[in-house]
Amino acid sequence: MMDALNLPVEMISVCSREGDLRPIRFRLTPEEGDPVTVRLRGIDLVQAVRYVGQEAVRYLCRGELGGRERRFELRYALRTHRWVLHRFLD
Amino acid sequence: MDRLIFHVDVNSAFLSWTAAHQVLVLGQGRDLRQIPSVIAGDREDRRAVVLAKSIPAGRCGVHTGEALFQAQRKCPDLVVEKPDYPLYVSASRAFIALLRRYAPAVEQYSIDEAFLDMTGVPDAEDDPVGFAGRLRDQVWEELGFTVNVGVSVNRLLAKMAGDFSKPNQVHTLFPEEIPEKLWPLPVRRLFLIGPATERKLHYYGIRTVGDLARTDREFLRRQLHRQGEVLWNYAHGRSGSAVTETPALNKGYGNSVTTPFDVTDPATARRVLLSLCETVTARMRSDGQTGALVTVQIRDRDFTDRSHQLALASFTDVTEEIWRGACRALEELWDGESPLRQLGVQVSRLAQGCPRQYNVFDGHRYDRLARLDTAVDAIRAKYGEGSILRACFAGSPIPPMSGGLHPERRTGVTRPLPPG
Ligand SMILES: [Mg+2]
Repeated sequence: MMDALNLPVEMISVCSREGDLRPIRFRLTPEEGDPVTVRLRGIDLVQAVRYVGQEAVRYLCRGELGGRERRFELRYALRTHRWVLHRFLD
Repeated sequence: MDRLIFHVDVNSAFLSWTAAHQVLVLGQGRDLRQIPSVIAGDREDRRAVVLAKSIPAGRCGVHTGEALFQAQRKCPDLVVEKPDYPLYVSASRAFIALLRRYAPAVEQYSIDEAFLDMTGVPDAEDDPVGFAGRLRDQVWEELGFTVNVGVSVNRLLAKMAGDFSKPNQVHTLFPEEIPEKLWPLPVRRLFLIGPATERKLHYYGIRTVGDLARTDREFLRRQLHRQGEVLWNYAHGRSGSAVTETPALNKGYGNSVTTPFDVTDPATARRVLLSLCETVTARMRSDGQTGALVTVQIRDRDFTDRSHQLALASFTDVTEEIWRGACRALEELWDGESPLRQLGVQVSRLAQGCPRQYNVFDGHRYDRLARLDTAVDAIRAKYGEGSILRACFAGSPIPPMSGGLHPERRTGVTRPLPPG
């Protein structure tokens, strides 16, 4: 299996009255070149995980990147409040 | 009536936890558990010692506790990772919290193992092996690492069972299975037998646990004194009279501290209690536990220990509420001036996330304090324990969070007592 990317991203998200956190749009800053903004088109799966005690939420999502729709996994870490683009799913 | 005891032990804990973190959290493709690998200190340091090894490393002859350079000589491709203690503490906490969901009484025995008293749990009593297997699978699915579960009627046999073969196994060692499963093993596999005792037993021709069990008890007592009798009992699966039986599992959360100076006034004593309550309640909150009984223990200059208990109005995990209870217990225990050398606080009569019984006078105040505690815990988790402290500790010789071990290792309480 290929190593995951785990790229840190800047995120705009919504937290509902029930406390559910939903990503809306994020900005990826590549090492070279301009930042890329990705608007989510849909979320296919939301899953709370706590592997080795590290609480996080996984989001399997779709969004437009580079002129085509891509599927990817975002992760939100509860302790650090950081969002990462964990890996592409296609 | 027979008890039903499980011993749950993480397989190669430090290595498993680092590996699971790399694979499941960081998303790395390589799994340390599948290749020859160890957790050890800095690889440049020749004194570095192997803290944990993978099973493939074990097949190359690498041992836990040996010098890293020796291990690397046996296995040139050995992958070496450094220990990550903060990760291990959070993995350990999540592990114990999961066990508490399934067992009415859990006693943490070390950072990666615990005894569960499953007596009276119908599903576990009907099918102990099936229940233990589901527990093992739940740890794997939820937390991402493997455990061994040993099943028996006391802690000694459960722990011996858990050590049979690894990883990811459930084993039983009920008393009727002792001749078949325990006696063929070499004596060194018996709990508490180290190399020195093994040499002595070999000298008398005692090589297996069965040899030990069949040896005359009086002979062992003459040669090895009290230890001889204890080992003879162990070989028969009995903890024996020399072992203190822990009265109840899951007794509570406690901490004590020997003060750097004699405490001779109530204000200082209360401040020491507060510093102890900070660490005790932080651990309770982290485990989702509340308590309703607070015990204060004091030791005077003649090393006389006294203690006093006080029942709280409600189950709570609020630092200030438990501290106020502790202060009242201290008032009944101490004249406020005879010099004290040590103070301790213990919270017991535990319940998991028990709803508060409101007290007309101060219930709402404690809701606010509970939110304050949550915020303080979060800040300490993020920026370290020293990042926030109560104003009364500023410039004081009393550390703001007292007792216990090194902060990173506080959860890993290891008891020297053998399991009974
Ligand atoms: Mg272990």
